[in-house]
Amino acid sequence: MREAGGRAQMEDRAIISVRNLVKHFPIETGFLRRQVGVVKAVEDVNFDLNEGETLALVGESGCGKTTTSHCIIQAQRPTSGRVLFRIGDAAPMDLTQMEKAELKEARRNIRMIYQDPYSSLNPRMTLLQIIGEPLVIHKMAGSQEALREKVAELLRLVRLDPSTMNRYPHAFSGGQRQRIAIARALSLSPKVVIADEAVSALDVSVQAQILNLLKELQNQLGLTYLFVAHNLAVVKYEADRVAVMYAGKIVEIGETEELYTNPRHPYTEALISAAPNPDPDTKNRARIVLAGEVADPGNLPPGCAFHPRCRYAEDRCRREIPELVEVGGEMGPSHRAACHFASELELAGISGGAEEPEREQA
Amino acid sequence: MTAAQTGEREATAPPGGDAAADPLLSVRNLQTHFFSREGVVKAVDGVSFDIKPGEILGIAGESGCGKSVTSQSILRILPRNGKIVGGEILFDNGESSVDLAAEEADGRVLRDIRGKEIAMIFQEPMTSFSPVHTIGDQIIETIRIHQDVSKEEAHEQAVEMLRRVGMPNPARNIEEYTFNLSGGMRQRAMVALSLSCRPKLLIADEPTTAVDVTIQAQMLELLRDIQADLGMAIIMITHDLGVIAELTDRVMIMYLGKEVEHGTVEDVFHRPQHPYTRGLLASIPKMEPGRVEIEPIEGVVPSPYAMPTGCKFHTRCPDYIAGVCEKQDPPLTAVGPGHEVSCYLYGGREELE
Amino acid sequence: MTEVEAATRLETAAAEEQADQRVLVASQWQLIRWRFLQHKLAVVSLAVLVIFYLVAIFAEFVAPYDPYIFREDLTLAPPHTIRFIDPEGRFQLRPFVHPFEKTLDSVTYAAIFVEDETVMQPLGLFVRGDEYKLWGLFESDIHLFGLQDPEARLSLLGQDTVGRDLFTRIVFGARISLTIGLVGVAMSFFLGILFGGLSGYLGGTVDMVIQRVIESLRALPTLPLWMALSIALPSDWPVVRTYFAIVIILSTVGWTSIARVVRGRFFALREEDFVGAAELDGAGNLRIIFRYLLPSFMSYIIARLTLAIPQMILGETALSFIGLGLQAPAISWGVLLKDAQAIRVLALSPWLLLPTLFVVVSILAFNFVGDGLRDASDPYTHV
Ligand SMILES: Nc1ncnc2c1ncn2[C@@H]1O[C@H](COP(=O)(O)OP(=O)(O)OP(=O)(O)O)[C@@H](O)[C@H]1O
Ligand SMILES: Nc1ncnc2c1ncn2[C@@H]1O[C@H](COP(=O)(O)OP(=O)(O)O)[C@@H](O)[C@H]1O
Ligand code: SF4
Ligand code: SF4
Ligand SMILES: [Mg+2]
Ligand SMILES: [Mg+2]
Repeated sequence: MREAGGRAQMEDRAIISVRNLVKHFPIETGFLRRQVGVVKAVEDVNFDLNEGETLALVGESGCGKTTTSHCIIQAQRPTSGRVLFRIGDAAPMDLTQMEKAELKEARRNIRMIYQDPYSSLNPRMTLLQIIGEPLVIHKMAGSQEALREKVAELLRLVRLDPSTMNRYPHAFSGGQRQRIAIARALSLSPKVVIADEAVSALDVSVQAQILNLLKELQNQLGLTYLFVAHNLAVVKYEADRVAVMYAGKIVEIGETEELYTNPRHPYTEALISAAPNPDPDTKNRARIVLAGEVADPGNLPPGCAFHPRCRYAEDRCRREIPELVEVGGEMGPSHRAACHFASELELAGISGGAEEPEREQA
Repeated sequence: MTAAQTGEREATAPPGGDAAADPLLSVRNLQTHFFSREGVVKAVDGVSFDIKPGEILGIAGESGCGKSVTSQSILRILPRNGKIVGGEILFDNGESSVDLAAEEADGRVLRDIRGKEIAMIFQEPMTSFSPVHTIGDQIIETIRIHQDVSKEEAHEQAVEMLRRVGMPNPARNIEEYTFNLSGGMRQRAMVALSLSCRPKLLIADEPTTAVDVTIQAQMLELLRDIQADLGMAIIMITHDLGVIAELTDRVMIMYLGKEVEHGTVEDVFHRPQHPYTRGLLASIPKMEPGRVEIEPIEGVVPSPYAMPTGCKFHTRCPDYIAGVCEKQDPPLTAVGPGHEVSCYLYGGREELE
Repeated sequence: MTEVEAATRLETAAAEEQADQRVLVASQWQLIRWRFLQHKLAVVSLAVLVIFYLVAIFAEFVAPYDPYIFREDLTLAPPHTIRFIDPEGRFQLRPFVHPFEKTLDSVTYAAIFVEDETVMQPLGLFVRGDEYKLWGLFESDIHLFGLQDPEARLSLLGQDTVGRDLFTRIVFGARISLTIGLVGVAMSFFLGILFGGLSGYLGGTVDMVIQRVIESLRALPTLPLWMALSIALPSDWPVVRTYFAIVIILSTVGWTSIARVVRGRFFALREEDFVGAAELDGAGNLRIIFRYLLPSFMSYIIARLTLAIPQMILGETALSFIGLGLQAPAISWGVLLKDAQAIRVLALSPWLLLPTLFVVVSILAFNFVGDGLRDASDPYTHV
């Protein structure tokens, strides 16, 4: 297998390190598919996924969450950048450079759960076949008896009745199907699970069940999660750290509690403020309602991509692209934000209502 | 407490103690069923609520509980295999009270009411608009169907409405086609279209479910402003209890076609009584500092073809009373002024024998 | 049916389904079968088609006569009335017919057939008659039914312009008319899956070329295209060769729509999460195609095919009718109808139009079965 440089490039605790990840899609038109532009779906994304943690990727639709996770697992090949993966003390490997056979091995350890529990299970296969499929493909099944035993164990793990293994997915509700999808993801005893909006399509009562199940499994099996979601409250409950994405970039990353109570990027502040709170007492709180729409990654504004909607924007924001830098604070070097004024602005988190902005709206 | 302590609510009694205004819409024991090859689905099975002029009522519940079917029943726009099999939908059209459930679905009365007196906005804004006409054409046409005004007047009204919903350039936007607009603008245009005849009641069915949280915030702000401005009543249908808490005055919680609890948002969110409402509120992760555990409701929503007997929630209820709950539907019981619950914990057991 | 009846019926159905836990472990094909069986019209149509095809397969045995043996004296004789009551008014357990007596109209010299009431010719099952070789293999002279007297002729649906038995000829015609659709569709199916699959799987340039070809073919109106192609067929070709030529002509257009469907489904399915998941599981291309893609749209394609067969049947009938398809001595429903072209025939011998009835019934039956299959083919949409 290919080695990717020394250990220096990876943080000590990291199991996956994403370095300068870029994914562009050509915009083509006409009969001859002439390229007329480029969608910068992911633009220079860097982060580390530490062993045993849950890192959440949040942001509005189209900001590049799915593309990022697909580029990590190489379901889509990134345009450039590296995805370093390391098991234990072995040397890190760059997934982006791997051939098919090598990837097949690596993907045993990095598994994925999809958003839509209805389209992610083949309706023509029984639970036994669905959950057993990865084992069969990787020739880890052994006899048919051993396979049944293993599948039964996995079903028990996700709290489904093993006697249902001969049923087809149509016999199950959305929440149960998501459990089946989790069982399939866990069948190869992976290290990392990428959950792309895995609870977004579920009703609240069922969503809560799955959120708790994911946590229990993490404790039990020592899993690492990359948890992609757009619901901030769900992310707050589930994640240890959060990365906020906007228009293909990470604009803020930090420990969950710190990021929610002390956001350092105006977009994070607005997202927190906009999240509806199931408490009628906060009905009349001052909200930050962002004007306009999410930036179009096919046609990004110059400078800070958020500036057309940012109420703190100044001239500099329209010219210079802000870097993702440490914002320090007592929480140490783990909190970073990409805003020119990250260290100056007084932004409101979840502790209280939004205070009056101390700058005039641009 | 003025309301009856126990027993079923009288069909005509106003909800709670406040009887200041007559209800604009009064739904009484509505039952809407679907007949399909797989069987009968009792999508709505005995739902009653009132809405007064200018009030914002929320209808909340998990998917499949019958929220949309309730609203489709009111406007009589049910799919062909759906049928209102019982109950009344009394609408006060200014002069008298008409029972929408008893009218012809495409008769004169409903055609007059739809769009003019009661308007609706949907989850997917594109479904409200035709792609081959400009926004202006469609708003003007709607105005002229229901009001006797000239084309110029209608045009003026349309521009005014687009301005009110915050379209950036109403005079130009009116000439545009919906596919040229961004998602948020489409939502606004849809609101403008539905409000163009100044309806007394606006039904919004999950208008923010498919949109991003920042667009959702815009939409909620718009609805709040426009309600303050025009004073119509709103029925807000959503599965998102956060949206209910942010927008509505009163809320009705549904489960499997039944109303389980209703009351003011404060009562229902701060003093939830029904085990389902309590479970639902406990399942939602909160946006509060510190760690707040969530507690899911056990089990799964039963299939609509295999509805439980008695209290529909008894298969999942932590407070289930064996020998009681699975026998019969619990009646609605008042637990406070204007706060009613359908659960045997609060009464109704005497009548079982 | 009243609402209430409908409701109770559906309720019982639902209760049965509840009791029936089989549905939970039912495979795709079982679900399709259950759904299909609920479609009454489709089930009846399927029965009709099965009978038609059985008749076509055992044509020599089912038909009472040899399709080429003619009886000049019975030219254009009308259908017989099959009787149970004899002239004395007694009931006869065994049905019988009166033979025809031919006279000439004194004014027009047109033949008039009068039943000779003095003679009773009883019908029978498994009677002896014209000799035949079933499928060119088994020699016999037993026919499913006929008159017990081998010399007499039962005119079930009338006689044609040279005195051949029309019912016999319709039975033999079914053989060609009903199979040409099947063979044509099988051919379209093959071409459609091949090219549609290539298009959808490879994409890129291959896809573009195939799509342009399909578009060009589809831009041409079907019937004139078929006509143009069949004009090129030499008229001295043997029947079998013409038959296959016609099949190929009919499939020139048929495969394009199937190719489109296959391609579309391929594209759509590649986007499905479960296919993506299988790729990440490490499943190879062949495994994905055969375990995930093909099973997912096989049922749908079969439904589409069923709906394509009637078009082919009509195509053959139309071409033969206008003289561009099969020609006598071949026997197909289209060839039979060609006989009915003259207005005079229509007025005096309307039974010559009876092949139309069979064309219509089989086309309707295919359509109903196709509808039923289409509704049932994706059992997961409403479950
Ligand atoms: N195959 C593709 N071709 C062209 N553009 C694409 C493609 N896939 C994604 N994009 C674009 O890339 C951007 C990021 O897409 P991505 O799917 O990652 O968003 P997301 O954050 O997951 O959104 P959602 O919440 O809607 O799933 C979007 O603008 C999207 O339109
Ligand atoms: N056209 C239909 N045919 C059969 N059942 C339907 C139809 N539309 C809705 N239903 C059923 O009615 C119930 C309530 O649906 P709906 O009101 O749409 O739920 P929601 O609360 O998500 O809006 C569900 O069980 C649903 O399956
Ligand atoms: S850099 Fe400027 S525009 Fe961007 S978020 Fe910071 S203040 Fe706003
Ligand atoms: S009636 Fe019984 S089962 Fe239903 S909610 Fe109340 S306690 Fe629970
Ligand atoms: Mg996504
Ligand atoms: Mg709905």
